[in-house]
Amino acid sequence: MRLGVVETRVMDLDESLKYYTEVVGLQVTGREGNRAYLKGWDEEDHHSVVLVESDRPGLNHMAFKVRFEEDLNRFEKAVAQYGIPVRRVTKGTRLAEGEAIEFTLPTGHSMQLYQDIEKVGNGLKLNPDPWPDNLKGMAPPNLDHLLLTGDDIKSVTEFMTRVLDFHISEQVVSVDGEQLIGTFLFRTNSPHDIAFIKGPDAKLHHFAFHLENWQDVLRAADLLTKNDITLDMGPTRHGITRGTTVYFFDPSGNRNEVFTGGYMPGADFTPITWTEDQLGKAIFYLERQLNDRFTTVLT
Amino acid sequence: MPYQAQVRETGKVIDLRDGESLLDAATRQGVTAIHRGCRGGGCGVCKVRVLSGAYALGKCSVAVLPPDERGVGFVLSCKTFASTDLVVSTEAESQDR
Repeated sequence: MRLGVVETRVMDLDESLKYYTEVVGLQVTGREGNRAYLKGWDEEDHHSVVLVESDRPGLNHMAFKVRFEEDLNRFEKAVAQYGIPVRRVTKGTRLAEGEAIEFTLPTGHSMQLYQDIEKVGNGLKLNPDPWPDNLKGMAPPNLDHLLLTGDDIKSVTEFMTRVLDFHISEQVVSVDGEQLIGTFLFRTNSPHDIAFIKGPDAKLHHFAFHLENWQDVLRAADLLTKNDITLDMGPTRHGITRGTTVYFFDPSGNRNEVFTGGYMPGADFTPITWTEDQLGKAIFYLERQLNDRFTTVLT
Repeated sequence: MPYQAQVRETGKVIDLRDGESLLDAATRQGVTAIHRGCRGGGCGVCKVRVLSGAYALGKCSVAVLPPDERGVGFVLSCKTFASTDLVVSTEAESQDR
């Protein structure tokens, strides 16, 4: 499975659409009621980001796309057997989406699995050029990963690895090794498809888009200043994942990231461990220290 | 017309330019008693209480600035635009800060 959709709440849909299309550079593929549907230019499915107008920001749910329709039955059973209630989301609940299963993680986040979604294509499948015309803003080709906070990192990690077959790429532990403070998990060949770090339950730390290289990350940071978008941190390098990054906020205060680089782990990857006293270097390798904003600003 | 905001705890006076939020003015003048978070009305890090003065408040998350707090002058300074001089408190007790 891979990260397919992030549905996030925003406080002003029109203002947010302007930001996500013109500054981030996603493409709008649909709008219905208080929801707007967007995708990166290289994504083939109808959408990867759903914006929902609300009186508060944050994450409604994230959805991972499984390979085969029958995988839904298999995971539905496995999740229920683990003791977590599962419900079916009927086809057509959201634009272009088929049936899904939904359950709540031990950290309080709503997670869905789905296979059926309308494909709109990327227009680059027959004798293609490397990128399409009319790209805007940072123009990420695709959604990359998300980081969530929760109290019980051990339980959520156990569920994700045992039941959904995620693998640990990196973990942050207390100096005595007793406490798990964060885990970075993958199901593809990315250093993280989803990550969890200790904090309040059911909160979103950030969701990230992929860029091709470090120069694109620098250019993305330029666009933040050009458009008076609030910078959070960077551009810099992560110790964890070895990727390069810049963090910033959408108009409702949801943290976004553009991310590139990092290694390509396989299922047999030996996890990397960081101790909490090295967390500064782990998160921001160049600065070697965290700031309060990065650890406390959540939606 | 530009206004001023005074921080009760420190006495520091912040000059507010036309159309400038309380947070942006504080940041510009190095006033760190008001913390910068997401600057989008979402996280609640820049919450202060307005003790006197009039202002317009932009869209703020009800999760971090519930209606009862708004009713007694709590604001997110990133979405606060003064229409008179203000006195603000950075240490007023809030349910969520």
